[in-house]
Amino acid sequence: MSALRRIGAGLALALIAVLATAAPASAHDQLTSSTPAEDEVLAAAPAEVVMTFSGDLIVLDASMTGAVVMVVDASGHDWASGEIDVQGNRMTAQLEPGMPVAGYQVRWQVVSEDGHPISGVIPFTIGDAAPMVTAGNSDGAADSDEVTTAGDQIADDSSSPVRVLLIGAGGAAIAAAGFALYRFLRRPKATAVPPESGDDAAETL
Amino acid sequence: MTRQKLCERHYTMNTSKTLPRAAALLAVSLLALTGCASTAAPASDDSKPAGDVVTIEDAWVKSAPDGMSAAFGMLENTGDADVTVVSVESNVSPMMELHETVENEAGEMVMREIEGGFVIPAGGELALEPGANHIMLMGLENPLVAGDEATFTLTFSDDSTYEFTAPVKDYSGANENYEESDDEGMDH
Amino acid sequence: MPAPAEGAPTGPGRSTRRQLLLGGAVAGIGAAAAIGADYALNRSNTEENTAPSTPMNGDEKVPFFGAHQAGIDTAAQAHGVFVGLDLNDGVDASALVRLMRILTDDAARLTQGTPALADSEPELALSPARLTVTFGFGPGLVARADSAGPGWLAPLPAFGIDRLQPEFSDGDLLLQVNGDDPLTVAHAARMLLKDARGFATIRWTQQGFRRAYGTERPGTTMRNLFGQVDGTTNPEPGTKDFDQVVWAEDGWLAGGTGAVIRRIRMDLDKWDRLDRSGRDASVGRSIANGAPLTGTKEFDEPDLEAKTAIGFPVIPQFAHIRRARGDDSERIFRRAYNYDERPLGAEVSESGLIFVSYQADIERQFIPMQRRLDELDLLNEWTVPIGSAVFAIPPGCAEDGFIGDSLLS
Repeated sequence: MSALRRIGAGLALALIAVLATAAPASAHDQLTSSTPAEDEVLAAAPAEVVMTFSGDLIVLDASMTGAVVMVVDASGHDWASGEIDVQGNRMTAQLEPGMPVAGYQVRWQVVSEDGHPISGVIPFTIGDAAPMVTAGNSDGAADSDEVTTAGDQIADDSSSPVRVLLIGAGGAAIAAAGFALYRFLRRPKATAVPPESGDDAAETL
Repeated sequence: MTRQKLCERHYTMNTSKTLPRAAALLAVSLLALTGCASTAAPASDDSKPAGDVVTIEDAWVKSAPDGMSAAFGMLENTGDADVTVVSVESNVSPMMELHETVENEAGEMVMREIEGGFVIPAGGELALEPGANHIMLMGLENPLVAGDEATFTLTFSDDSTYEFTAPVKDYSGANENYEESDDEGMDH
Repeated sequence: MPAPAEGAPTGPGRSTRRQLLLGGAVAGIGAAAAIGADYALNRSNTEENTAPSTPMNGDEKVPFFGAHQAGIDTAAQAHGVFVGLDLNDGVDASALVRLMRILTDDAARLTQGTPALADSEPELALSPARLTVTFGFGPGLVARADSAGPGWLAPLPAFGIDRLQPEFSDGDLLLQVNGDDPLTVAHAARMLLKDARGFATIRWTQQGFRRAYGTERPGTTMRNLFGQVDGTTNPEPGTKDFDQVVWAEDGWLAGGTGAVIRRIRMDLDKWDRLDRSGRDASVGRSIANGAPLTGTKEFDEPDLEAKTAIGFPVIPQFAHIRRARGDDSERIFRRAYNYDERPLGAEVSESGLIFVSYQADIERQFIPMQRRLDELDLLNEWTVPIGSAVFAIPPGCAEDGFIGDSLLS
């Protein structure tokens, strides 16, 4: 069974190589906490949204173009007043008064310390209401090829460990299959092995 | 091989082998200062005066603030007989000489007035260049500055003449010793 | 219109390709063996049969005389040397005529593979390799000629992002020497500088490079040291569009253009910390093939209205291409070179871009764009302008004329 052991060793090596390449991903900052928090149920309408990040945010210009906050309801109405303040790793967005009992989403975009734009969605509700279930807005502006689920932070996912592992596993499977074919079947003809679909529906900005 | 052929070769050369190309390039480079523009149809009438069959290509004069300077270029003789330049005049220096550069007894390269003038062979050329034959300007009347032009008139052994102009260029070389004043170069 | 270098797909297509790359090691070995064998076979063929008929790149020439100076609509060569000169005191209009006559003669010869007059190293001139020499006049030179330039012939307004160093800024006379062979370029630059020595001193020198000759198909948009495809929206030389963007029409500058040369330091060490999607977002284009984030191919038109699923612009508000884009009158022709110098201190790079753009009217075409980029451009996080110079590029000349004769005669 030395052949099988060799295959095993090869797989282990492949995994190590894959993990090594996955290591340097995600240098940019992340949202660490917010008020309201994700999925929080508030008793009354908030006056502002406060978000805290793992690093200081970059303020690109006086008009805060790099920091955008929308607080939308199911109809697509944006309740953010447009006043945004960024201090270090905290961003505060003022809200218009009179938000009724309903489900809402905070949709935010900032530029993190390394210059990487990051964005995400924080769902919350006011009072006894159903949460907003999809991120798709009602005015048809969304044309991205996928739906972002609530709570996602959208940033670089093209080199996320999970994805790389999946791809690596696919690669290892191909290698192992080829090797097995060669060792045991001794068929000169190659068999096409389709690559495993490792696409985890993540998308870049 | 004539210069004309070399020039054609240079422009159309296809590199079949490395060594011949290198040799051809070397040959071209040695003649490079002559330029390749002239088409020099050989004149067959040897009764023509020398002044009608001699031209100069790529003439230039070295700039100098005062004192001495030198002029260079490629003299071409399209006639069927050798011609001899016996003297030269210029609008920028009243005193002119035809010089050659030779090795003296001490092994140094020195320049001196050539005896008998410059001989340009029939259908051939004579290079006037730093470190070799040149036209010597012995007493500049005014500074010779880059971008100006100087006019020269060559007189041949048959008393015919040839006039040409040459641009002035800054040049750091052409500092050979003048034989008649051992320790003073022409470059000030 | 040149095709993009690669049709590298984005999105799902790209991940498929990645899987194949990672997973196809076994197949890759086979492919490598096959390619190696193929190469070996073809190589012997090539050496025996096809090589002799291939002209040497060094023999290629760009005409010098003409309505426009060469080196602008010339397909960009691999190497570029830019020299800014300060005129000596006392250099007046008549001296400028002498200077430009000499320099024109040098350039006319050297670009055609002929040594300059008084060329001490004539052998170095014999392989022009598409050498071009382009002259530019700064405000100081035009003043010495007792003439007036266009209104834009002055240092650019101060921008907030600028950290300009005098040693890379301004100047009276520009020598732009481009070619596909660095030795030819160096020789030509030295020959010109020797002949300018009596009239002017060197204020600054910038050396730059692009891909070497033959590395990529001609017409491939250049990449800078950030890896970005740089210059996609350029008008194409030889078109009416190009002529309108680049060539001036009035006065002594008719047939000439305006040149902006800015030295943009690029912080590669900081850029290293930004991942690929962040890099894409900063420009608004895919690093992979230069396609806008709303497209798949380099020359796809960016859709600045497109939104993500949660309502943010796909090409962010602060992305370089969104900020650079003006109306149709605010267009320029870029012809940049990369630089990579000796780093100082603990850095491993001192690199950047010799940004070079040509436009008929700098005030109308360039400055509004630069103002927008000064106000907001995410790329500013990694770039700092450290040099800036403006020149009027006079038109070309006839064989019996000289560059600048429309100003100086």
